[in-house]
Amino acid sequence: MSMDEDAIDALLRKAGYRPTPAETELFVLKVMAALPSDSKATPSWLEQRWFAPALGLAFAALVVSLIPFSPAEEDAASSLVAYEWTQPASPQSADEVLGIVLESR
Amino acid sequence: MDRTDQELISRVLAGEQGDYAELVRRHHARVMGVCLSMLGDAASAEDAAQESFLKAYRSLADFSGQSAFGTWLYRIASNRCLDLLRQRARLPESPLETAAAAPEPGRDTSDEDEMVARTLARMPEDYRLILTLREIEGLSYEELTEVLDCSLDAVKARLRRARRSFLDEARHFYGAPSV
Repeated sequence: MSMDEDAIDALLRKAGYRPTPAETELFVLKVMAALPSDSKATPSWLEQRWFAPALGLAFAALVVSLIPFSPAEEDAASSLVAYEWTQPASPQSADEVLGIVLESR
Repeated sequence: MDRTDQELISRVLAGEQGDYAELVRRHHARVMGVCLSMLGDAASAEDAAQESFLKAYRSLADFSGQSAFGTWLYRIASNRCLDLLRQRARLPESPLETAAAAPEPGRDTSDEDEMVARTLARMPEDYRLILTLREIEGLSYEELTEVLDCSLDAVKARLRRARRSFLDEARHFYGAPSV
């Protein structure tokens, strides 16, 4: 038979790799020995570098959102702000930082 | 009772790492066959096959099960072999690599096996891959579309060109041998 397409098929089909059982077992041992020892296959997203910081940030946000809201603290803070805004500024004769006496006209 | 690939995958994902051995055992010949056909020498092929199984293990949780596990493995192994061939192409050719297509000493290979290996080694890598998957490993057209990530028409066209290329190479170097 000449080298036609059927012959190609026949040639290629015969060319497959056929390992002995011993070769297969040796290969299996090599692969199993090379598997990561920390057991389970982990999802690839768990190995991403962004995962730990993102998890930390999410946890922090959760903690902040769960801190009990205290109306008394909020009242005290807002009273202080209101007091500072409503008090007239006292006239100062000297610069508080540099200690310079300001001239009054 | 023999477990299906999907059952074994579920067990591995649940922490039964030892069950991965059975998956490796089942698919060793096919993955190694592709790597050997693509890379030419047994040492590189074994390394590539081993890396493919390790990559598959690491990505097992991402395996959706839409295609067969074997088809998915073929895809991983094919990509690994193509990467290695591209890396080789960037390096200056060494005498060892020119002899890469020669069958391994000590392996029982016929003249026909040797001729196929040498002819495949002269072909472009995408033709070599599709011929290996289709003609040697016996994948269906549908499986080829999944492994090669292309349409059915593209698979048929590439396969036609690959067969023509194989025929031309074989005729050029060996005349018209009888089979």
